[in-house]
Amino acid sequence: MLSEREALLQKERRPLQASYVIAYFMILCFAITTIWLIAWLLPWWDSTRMALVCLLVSLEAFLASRLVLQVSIFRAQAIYFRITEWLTILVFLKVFTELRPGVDHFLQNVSLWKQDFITYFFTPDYLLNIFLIFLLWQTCTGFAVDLWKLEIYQSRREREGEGGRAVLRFLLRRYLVVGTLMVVATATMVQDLFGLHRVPDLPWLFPVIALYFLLGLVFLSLTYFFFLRTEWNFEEALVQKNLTGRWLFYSSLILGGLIVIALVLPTYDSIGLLAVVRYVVEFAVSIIAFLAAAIFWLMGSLISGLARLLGWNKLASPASVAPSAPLQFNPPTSGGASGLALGLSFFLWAFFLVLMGIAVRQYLRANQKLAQEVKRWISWHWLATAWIKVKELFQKTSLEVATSVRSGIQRLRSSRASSPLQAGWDIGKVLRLNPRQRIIFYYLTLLRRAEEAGTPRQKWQTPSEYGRTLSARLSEGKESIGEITTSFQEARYSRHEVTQEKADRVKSIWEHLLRILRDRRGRD
Amino acid sequence: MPAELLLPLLLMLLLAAFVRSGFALTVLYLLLGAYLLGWFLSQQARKKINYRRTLDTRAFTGEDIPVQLDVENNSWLPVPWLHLYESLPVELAAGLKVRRVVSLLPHSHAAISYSLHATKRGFYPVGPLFTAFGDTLGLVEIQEFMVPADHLTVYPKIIPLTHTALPSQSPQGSLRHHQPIFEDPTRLLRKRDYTSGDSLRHVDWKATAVVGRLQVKQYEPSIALETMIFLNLNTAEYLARYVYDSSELAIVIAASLANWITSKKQAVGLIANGSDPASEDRSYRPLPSRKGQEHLMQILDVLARVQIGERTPLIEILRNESPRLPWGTTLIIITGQVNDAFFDELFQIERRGQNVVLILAGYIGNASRVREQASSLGIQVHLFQTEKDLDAWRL
Repeated sequence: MLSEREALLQKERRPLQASYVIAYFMILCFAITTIWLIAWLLPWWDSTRMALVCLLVSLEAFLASRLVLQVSIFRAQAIYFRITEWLTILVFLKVFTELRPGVDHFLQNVSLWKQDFITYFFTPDYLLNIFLIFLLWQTCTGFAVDLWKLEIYQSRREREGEGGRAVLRFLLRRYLVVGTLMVVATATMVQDLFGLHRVPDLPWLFPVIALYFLLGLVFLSLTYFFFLRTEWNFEEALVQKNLTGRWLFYSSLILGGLIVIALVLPTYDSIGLLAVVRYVVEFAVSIIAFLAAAIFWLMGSLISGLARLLGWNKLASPASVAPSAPLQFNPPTSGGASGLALGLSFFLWAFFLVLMGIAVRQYLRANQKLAQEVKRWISWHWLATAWIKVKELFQKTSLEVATSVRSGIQRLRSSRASSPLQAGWDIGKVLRLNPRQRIIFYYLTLLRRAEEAGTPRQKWQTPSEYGRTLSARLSEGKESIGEITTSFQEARYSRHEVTQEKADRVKSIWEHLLRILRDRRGRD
Repeated sequence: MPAELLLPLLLMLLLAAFVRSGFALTVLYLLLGAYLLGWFLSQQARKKINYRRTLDTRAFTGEDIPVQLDVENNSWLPVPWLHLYESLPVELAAGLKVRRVVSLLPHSHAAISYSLHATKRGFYPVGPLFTAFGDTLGLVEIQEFMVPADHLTVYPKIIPLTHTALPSQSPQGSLRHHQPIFEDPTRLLRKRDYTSGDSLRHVDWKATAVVGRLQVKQYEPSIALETMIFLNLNTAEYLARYVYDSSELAIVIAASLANWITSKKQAVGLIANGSDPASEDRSYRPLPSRKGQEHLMQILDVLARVQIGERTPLIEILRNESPRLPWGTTLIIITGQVNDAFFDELFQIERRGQNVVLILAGYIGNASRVREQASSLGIQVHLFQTEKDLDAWRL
């Protein structure tokens, strides 16, 4: 019977157990790629059923490694175990290599061992098989040992230095090294880097590599989850019940997203780097040219309009200043490349340059000495100064433009608010005014009418003084004049709210006064 | 970006660019995408998670204080895992560990509730809250974040006193006094016939008109307990073996007396030479003598926070502060040990017209000698070795 703690540990080891399975499949991907590479390099090598052998040996390597690590045996015993293991593998491989062509071939070969054992026993086929299996076995053992270390880390009851984190780093490194080797091997085959003039017909090569990397991401997710669970256990943290499910869900989601990204993004460059740079520069130049033409056309139109207004008919017409052809933006020709190809190539090279930049920055950060040297030898000072000046110029211009636009808008607003009547309002506009503006409107209209009736307001007169003058002239409207003057002063200078009723009242007074003025003019 | 990832990425980029191998670029997108997605998730978590801690910031000894931590994800992206660790004071948590791992959906929130038990007076930081989050692949470095602590004040234990033997000479007070020296014009006792020598200001003209002979008002004599508590929290002035228990008892006595005096609607102040962790320079500022519940809470706040240490001797503080106090003020001096110089100072204070009550808290080696010295100088002295001894003022 397992203790409660042991049962819990077992349950929490499930992600790790899944990691073993994933690692196994990753190594199979690696084995298949290696078999294809060797078969491409050495066409005489017989790779028949080698995948099956790799499958068995990988399994054996995982199990044997776990066994050696699990059973606490002495170092000498472990060495004996490994020697026995390898002797068995070698014998198995020899038998497999010899029996593969048939039993007769095997018997014939055995008879030749007496003549020259070394030559006939260690055949090139056999040696290549040993090399392949050793490579595979070594990779499997590496993964198995690292995963075992994680397991050991969990079974300890407390955190120990870098512990699990270091193991995770090793696993990541191992995954990437093996993956990179696979990519390099595939690139070697596909691009025929050795000049063998043989392009392999392997439609499954890329999917196998992609599968390796995808499995690797799942592997990283599982090991990371196991590590974090272990850390949280050390801290006796209470873990949300559905966290495992959510972790799996989010990991699957991220993986799905990554597959989509990898499928959608461009994987070829139809246009070279320099050509892309040329297109970008051409594009920028054409935009600048377009803007310049637009500005000139605008200026020409303004000048010609002004000339017409001032009656300088001799001055050139706007057509002579503006571009003769209708203004339009002409993108640069891409020299036969389609827009999509150009876009994809642009993205690709931009990505390339950005990644290179990040890499250099990262490297310099890691090597401060080198960074200091680079700073010392290459004078960045002028570049930095130029950049600061350009930045300042842009900031200054932007600030000035923003300030002038803001002040212009403010001026417009204030002119509208302060002198609403100067622009010559019509009754439609009057109805849209607020009560305060309406009162001002009625008073100013009254002034105009009074002026027309022969009682103009003198410049030096205040509203009250003018009110007295007007009252002397229009004795029948004395009270109304006093009221409209007071209302105007209130609307013009007070800060409190002016009501609609007040405006209506002033309107009726205004109408009354206009009637009096009309009558007076009729009588005169 | 981890160095392990950078080199393969560069190699693949070079392969993609110069050997024109498209599948290398696919792998590159896969790896870089994994890193960038993880990085983006972490950044979102850092920016868009809000933390809020809700608790009552004041409690009395023995109370349970419920605390709630709200963690809110304001992002449209989920937070795969979020590790929360709340740092708690040992005195209140008693084995409680607030460590949680949660996963937050987009625009969701998690609430963590726990309870603290106020066992001992003090000024405790609740928090800070340490959080950690990252991606699900381990490619992005774990981001760590700290949410500042809130502070919880646990008031000292208050023993409800029913009577004390605190003297006062201050007139215009509100406590009745058996000596008719100071009459309080606000407390009318009775009216009587005028006798020669009575002040004309005390004549009740209305009553005189009714009765037909001169009547004078007689007032109730009263005293004011304008009190200042001097609390000694200098380690050197307590017996080394009992320093902790004695100083804590001194604080309990100070709190209980302040509570009693306030309940009698009298003014009380506090001067202590301990350190105050809530003030910037940790120094303690005296609380002047005031009335009212609000002022009592201020005193209790200070008594909750104040800490014993190697501080200025109380005798120096008495020398500086006592001359500034009004005539008739009662000085309650709570300390652990006294010597001859200390008694000399107390005698000087008495001579200035202020009352001195000496309270010795904790174990006193030379109790009888102290009593003798105090009685020879006419100083009231009380010895409290344990909280139980305060029952003398409870019954």
